[in-house]
Amino acid sequence: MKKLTAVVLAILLVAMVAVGCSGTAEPSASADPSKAAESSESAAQPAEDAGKVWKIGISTQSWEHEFLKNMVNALQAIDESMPDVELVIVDSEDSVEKQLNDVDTLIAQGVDGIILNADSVEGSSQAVVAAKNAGIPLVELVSLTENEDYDTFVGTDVKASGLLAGEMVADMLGGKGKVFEIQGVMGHSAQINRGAGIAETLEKYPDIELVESQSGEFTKDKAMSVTEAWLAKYPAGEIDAIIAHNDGMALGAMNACISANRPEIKIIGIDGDAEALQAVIDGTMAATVVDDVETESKLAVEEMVSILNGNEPKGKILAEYMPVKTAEEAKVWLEKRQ
Amino acid sequence: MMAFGGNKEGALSGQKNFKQYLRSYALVIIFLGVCAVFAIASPTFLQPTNIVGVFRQIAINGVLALGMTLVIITGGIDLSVGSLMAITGVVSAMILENNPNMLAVALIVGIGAAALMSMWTAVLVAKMRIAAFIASLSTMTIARGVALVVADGIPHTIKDTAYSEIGNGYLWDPAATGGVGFPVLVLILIVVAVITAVILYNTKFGRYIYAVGGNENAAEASGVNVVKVKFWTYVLNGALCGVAGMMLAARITSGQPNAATGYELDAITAVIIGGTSMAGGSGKISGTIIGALIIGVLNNGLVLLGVSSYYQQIIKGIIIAVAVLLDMKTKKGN
Repeated sequence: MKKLTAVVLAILLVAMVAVGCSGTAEPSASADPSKAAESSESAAQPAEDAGKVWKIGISTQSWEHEFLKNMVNALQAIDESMPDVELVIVDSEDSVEKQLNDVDTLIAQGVDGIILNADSVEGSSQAVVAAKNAGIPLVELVSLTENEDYDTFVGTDVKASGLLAGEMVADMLGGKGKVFEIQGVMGHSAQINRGAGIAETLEKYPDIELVESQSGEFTKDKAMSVTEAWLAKYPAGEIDAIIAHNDGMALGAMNACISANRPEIKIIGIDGDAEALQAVIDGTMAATVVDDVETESKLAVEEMVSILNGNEPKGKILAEYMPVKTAEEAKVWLEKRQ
Repeated sequence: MMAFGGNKEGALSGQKNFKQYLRSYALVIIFLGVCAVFAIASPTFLQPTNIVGVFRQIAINGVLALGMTLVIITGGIDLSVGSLMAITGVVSAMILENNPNMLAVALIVGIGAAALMSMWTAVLVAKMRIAAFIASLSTMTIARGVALVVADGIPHTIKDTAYSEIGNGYLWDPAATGGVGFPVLVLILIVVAVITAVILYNTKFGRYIYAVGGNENAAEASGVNVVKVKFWTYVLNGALCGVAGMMLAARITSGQPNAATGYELDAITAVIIGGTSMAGGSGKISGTIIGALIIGVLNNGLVLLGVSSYYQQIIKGIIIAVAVLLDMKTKKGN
């Protein structure tokens, strides 16, 4: 019995250590031994601040979402290309409690600053308090918190994506038609603001009717079943366009329309996921609004470094949304994201 | 000779004790083993602020797991705990929104709402004899819907500082004690652990919980009111979910209808790692606390080591299997 305990424990420990090591070899890992070398090299570059490597903790929403995966990829690329930063990127798995715990853990670890991609407008506010109590700067990336004690917000005016998507729909329909909306997770800031933008635009067109809005909870399969229900309820000609609050849901709607043989329905998404860009190239999706998360991530890290180097925080840095309506435009973005 | 013989016997029983010790503390050994690995791998792990952080991080799941322990000992399960937590958060936040000075009322009504909702499961399981998995699945869906309806789908911010202190405050000022405070959340966990231990070990109700889970028919035959025991176990669990829901709402300073999704799995995991049998009839409060600690330490340590979240899930899954296997083996040895 004792032997068994010992053997199992030994396996456990070896496994833990092994995984720990392989973990640190990951690009997202905290301990990146190459950084030390890089930073000494960087002393040769005049722009660098005496070779100081800033350790920046980043807490994000769940990496299950492709938009977040694009963000994480972009951040990992920045980690490799910028010699004066070391990024520790942590996945909150969409749990606000885990996000707050992770930020505490990052602070305990002694990071120089926190970049927060907030899970919840209200709930993640406590992370801002934690960073403030620890006396380190906090930059918010893409999503905002209610607590405005952060140093700088880098992202987009989320409502602008809704406005842009709404304009594209109105344009495609020639200002007349029946539009359906698939919303994100109810209460999510993207759902609230994108929805507000879409509603605001469509209200300007008296001949466009927003027939139904349902939540697809930001998932493809839920959006697909919502769309299937609509397709059963509304015969051909009663649905002109479907706007989804993200590309994943737009793709779900697209699949439902393809299986039901309703190709006349125009489908518009937001984010610029690889699969959605491909769908625009293939002509199965009408358009998407690209959220340029690569640029936003870079701006956020650069702003954090600037603050750490003693510069005044800029408070707010906004990036523009990019409409993608043609195969050519989609190809440009697809190459960037692969 | 007598003395020698006595010594020999003492040595023998000492050896036996050591074996027994090893068996009964297999969980503690796993826990310390995991801690040792992280302590070696990360200099931050053993720092006081981080240790306090880990305890705070397990507090909510710990309370949830304690309630779940009672339910699982009766041979049941409760999948609705996350949804019940959301109800408490939403109800208490909304009461405070309209009546800013009624914190106590908000908390009592919020926790009461969760307990009330859990009666749905309690009736279905105890009276209607529906399988607990199915009954609580029904409650899980209904309660989530209720939370969304009550909250109108949106989060409600808690502006009351006393409420948010429950989730983020300390018993004494951390600055005064060199950066380490005693989180209120941890105090609540300790109180709940003591209460559940007293109920389980020192009351008739507690003995009936074991009896019902061990052999329902035998318990019935020996005069235990099985329906009543099951009913109140689920309601008690519902009230504890309410307490956990209050803790979460305080921590995230808002009542969110979509909060605590998937929390039932972490709670069940802590109970299982803690050595409570899914078949019912056996289980310990201390085991559940260590189970919750193992999960908390894993979460914390893997973040400290910068392990990618994809690998984290694989590791956690393996640890669950290893812990349960080890526990089964040691129990068989006994």
